[in-house]
Amino acid sequence: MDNRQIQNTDPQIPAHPPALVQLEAVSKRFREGGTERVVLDRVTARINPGEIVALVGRSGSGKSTLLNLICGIEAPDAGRILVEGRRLDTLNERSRTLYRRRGVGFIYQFFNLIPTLTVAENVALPLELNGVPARERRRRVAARLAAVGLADRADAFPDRLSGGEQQRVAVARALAHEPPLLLADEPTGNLDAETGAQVMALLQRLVRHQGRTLVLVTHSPEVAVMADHVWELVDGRLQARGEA
Amino acid sequence: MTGLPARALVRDHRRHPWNLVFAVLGVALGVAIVVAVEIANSSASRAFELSMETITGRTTHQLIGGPGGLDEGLYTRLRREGFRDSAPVVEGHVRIQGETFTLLGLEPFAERPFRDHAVGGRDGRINRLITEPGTVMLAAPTAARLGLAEDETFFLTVGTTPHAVTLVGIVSTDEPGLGGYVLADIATAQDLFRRHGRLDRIDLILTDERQMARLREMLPPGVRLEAAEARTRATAELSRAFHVNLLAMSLLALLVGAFLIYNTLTFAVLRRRHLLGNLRMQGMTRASVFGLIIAEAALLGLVGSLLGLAAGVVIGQGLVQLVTRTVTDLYFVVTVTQLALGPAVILKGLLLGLGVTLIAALGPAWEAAGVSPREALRRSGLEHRVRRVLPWLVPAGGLLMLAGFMLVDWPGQGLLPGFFALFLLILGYACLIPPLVWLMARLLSGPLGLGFGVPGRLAARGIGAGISRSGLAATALAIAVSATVGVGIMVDSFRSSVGLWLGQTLQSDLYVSAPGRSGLGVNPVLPDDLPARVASLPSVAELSTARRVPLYTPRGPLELMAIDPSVQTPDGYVYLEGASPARIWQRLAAEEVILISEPLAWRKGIGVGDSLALPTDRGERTFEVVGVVQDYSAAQGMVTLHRTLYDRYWDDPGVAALRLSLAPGVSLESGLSQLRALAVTLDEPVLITAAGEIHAQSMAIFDRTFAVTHVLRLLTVGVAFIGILSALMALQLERAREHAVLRATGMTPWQLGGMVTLQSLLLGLAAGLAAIPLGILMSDVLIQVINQRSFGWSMIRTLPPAVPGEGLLLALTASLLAGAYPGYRMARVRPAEHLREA
Ligand SMILES: Nc1ncnc2c1ncn2[C@@H]1O[C@H](COP(=O)(O)OP(=O)(O)OP(=O)(O)O)[C@@H](O)[C@H]1O
Ligand SMILES: [Mg+2]
Repeated sequence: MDNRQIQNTDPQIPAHPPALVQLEAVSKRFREGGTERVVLDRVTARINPGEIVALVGRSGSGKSTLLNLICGIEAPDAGRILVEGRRLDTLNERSRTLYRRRGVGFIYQFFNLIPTLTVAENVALPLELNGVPARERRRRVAARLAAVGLADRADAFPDRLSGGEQQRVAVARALAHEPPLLLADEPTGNLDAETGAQVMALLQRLVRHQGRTLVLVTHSPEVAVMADHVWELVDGRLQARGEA
Repeated sequence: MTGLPARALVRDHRRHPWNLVFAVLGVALGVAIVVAVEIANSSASRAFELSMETITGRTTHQLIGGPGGLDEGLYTRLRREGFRDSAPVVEGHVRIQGETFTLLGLEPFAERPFRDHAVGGRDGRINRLITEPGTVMLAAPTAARLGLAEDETFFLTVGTTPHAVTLVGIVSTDEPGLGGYVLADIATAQDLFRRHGRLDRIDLILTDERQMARLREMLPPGVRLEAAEARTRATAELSRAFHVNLLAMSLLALLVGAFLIYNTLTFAVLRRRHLLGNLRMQGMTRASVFGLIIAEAALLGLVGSLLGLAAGVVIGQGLVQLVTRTVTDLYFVVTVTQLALGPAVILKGLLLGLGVTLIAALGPAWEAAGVSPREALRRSGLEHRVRRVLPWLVPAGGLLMLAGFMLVDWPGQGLLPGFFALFLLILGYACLIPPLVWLMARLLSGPLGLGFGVPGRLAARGIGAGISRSGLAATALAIAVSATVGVGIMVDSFRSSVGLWLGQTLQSDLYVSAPGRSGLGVNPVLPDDLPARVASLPSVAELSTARRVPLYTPRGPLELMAIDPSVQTPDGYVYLEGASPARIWQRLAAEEVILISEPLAWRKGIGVGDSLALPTDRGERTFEVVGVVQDYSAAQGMVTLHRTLYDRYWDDPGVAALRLSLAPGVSLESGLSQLRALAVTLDEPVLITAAGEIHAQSMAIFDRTFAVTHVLRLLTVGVAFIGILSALMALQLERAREHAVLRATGMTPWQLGGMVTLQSLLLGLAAGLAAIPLGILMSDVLIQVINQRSFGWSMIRTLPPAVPGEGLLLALTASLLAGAYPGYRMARVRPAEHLREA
């Protein structure tokens, strides 16, 4: 694989096909009490369309922070973040929200479905926020739920579903509005190995099939194996690891 | 666009209906109180206006005299001089079936140009009214209400004497303004009121200046020409202070309501942080979240306001009785035949409810919009932030209170700074409560651990750990309780001040007075020879006479009290300003000087050394003020002068009351029986009262005046109770998951229930204790600013031990109830149920 994809210092931006996400010397610090901790230290990376990237690292190494930066809910202290060539770090709150709404789908360790919306409504939410008309919405919700094998649970509330089922709903929701970028933070961390593998397989299949880009945080080597690249966060730096 | 997010929030309410129910109830009660007071106030004012409109009719001017009224001859002279549009009036108060009415004696043939609905018609009934003595007419609704039919004879009481009169006509009108009147021929009225040859006023229609100038020329001294409208307005002004005071009480209730709404909405937002964070994560903008919460509040405010309007109308119907009774007791007779339920009242109620809800929602909506998407990922943060803010609340609260204190001393007579000061003080104090609660929880954690073991320690810790919620709950609770404490102290202070004043004023042993209500033209008098006869009784040591009459000055009505003291320096006055009592009375007896009452001094902004112009029977005269005395009896203000001065300037020889001290060794009983023996020989009844009785009667009137305030206080307690219940229940139910974890880790249902109840009680205790100083502070502002400025009465603040006790009890009871329910639920519920809820 291309080693220039990951550089810690002084990136020379190569004349490559346009990257989906580009990080340029991104730093993130947190202040706690009097002391300041550098979580990300001049991280530079690019993620090309259609790739699956696995992000690994010790607990507290900054994986979730990196995802938060990419989806714009946190801003870097230094460096630039480009999505489809547009600066994300200089956008205002509202524009970042709109970018997130249109361009990103999320899957979390704790599912984070909205407990007061039914399964179908949870999946419909990003469609509605993106202004998809009702009929089209119904059609897509049905299709997504069928794709994750939960067509028969459309009207159930999330707290009646098992963990694996909830995570499949989260996958359907994340893909519902067909965002170019999918972010998943330990999507299988809260599931038993077998269920986790099933959800992962489903996710991989859908991402590959629809040509989406996925950045995935994981602790599990089996999951990492599915990725095109595996990046490890060590002491705030990003390092490429042995890839599949 | 926001269909699903709204649905998510609404369904969340359906899962936690208590919060919503309490919020709606809070708005509803607040609105209900304001609307009820508004209805009662405006019904009374409107009734007065209507009756004045009806009775004034097309009158433009009135001729009025001094306390003795006008000579009938003046009217004849006017007619002779060509003032055709003139009508004589004799009026006074009478009672029918226990209800007070105004009896109007009119000249039917002169009426036509003036009034449509009175006795202007010319049919047989009018003839009977003129020719038959003891005949009256009533408006149809009044006759129906009293159950009187035409030609029926019934009793009508003047003073204490019943007179049989015949109802010869029923005026078929639905004009509500006539409801409080009994109409009679002028001769009948003069008979009933024993005012032969006298008139109270002459109504006129004057249109051109020349006519007016010519009229002024021919007026004898002491007779004044006044614009009818100005006089009506001045009378209406009388009761303004009372209405303003009620309004202040109702606004206080609404303020408490507003805090509760704020509290409920904030809770609703805090509880849904995770949900809101999730929505933000999915791409909902801050603006839409803000809009969603505001829309939710608007809906809640609307529903609450509508309910409040309905309840307000019902409560208002009850209040209007209390209000009219007080206005009649203290100011002027008013009969309310219909509720003022115009669109204005309804709109005001709706706007107020909605407005207050929306303002209260701004903070929570802002907070909601500020929820970062990260909240969906992690739960800490908030408590951390709140704990960092906590120390800053102390100086912030201090500054707000300082500003409030500075505003209290704002000069001038306006009430607005007073209200605003009150608001700032409450707000400032509110800031201090969460840090206090936090401190208390820390300090108590050890002792409670010793007393109750782990549940005890957890109860105290839980308060500190969830200070964002528990602080808010305690604050809402404290404010609600403090309002009831504040109003309670205010009423008690008022009552004791009046009681104290009465005790100091009622220095004589016995009082003899002419029965009847003074106020309109007719002022009751005692038989001429009575003072001398009473003075000659062996049991009587000293006797002074008093004459109290209303005086219509061009700048509004006031009361005149002419005293002929038995001794050089009489007792029974509380001087607020002036030289020594001996010196004051020396000057009163010798010079043209007067004493004025506190409200008068306040309203006119005058004091000792200033002078006051009064209309006398010799024309307008100016008198120097030599003292200011305390007086709670005349809200419009009272001027006290020596009888010799009164006789010099007013032609009103009558005496209305005798104050007498018994000779040493004479018991009250024997004094009373001697007086009663004397009284039965009189042609007219007189009232003989012991000081103690007057004291009791005055206090009864006082209590009636404050009956409305008591009702309002009770309603405020209701609002407070609901607020407490809602805040604490929200607090506990929100912890369901946390509690489930405790259950799962091995706490028994009893331990958990106990912990929840203990925690609630702790908060109740903290809030109840914090409420007492705030309540005292509130009462100070109410007394020194609101009451002082609206009535002109100063009072001493008391601290009745029962009132703070009640407040504390209220807080504890409510917190016990509020803690018991979630405690019971938590103890019963299977932990798995709550652990599932993501
Ligand atoms: N808002 C914040 N304030 C202060 N410190 C923070 C904040 N967010 C993250 N951190 C710190 O930054 C570091 C990285 O956090 P992050 O959540 O990115 O780790 P992670 O790699 O995702 O760990 P895990 O595998 O346990 O989820 C941690 O030490 C964390 O405490
Ligand atoms: Mg993480």
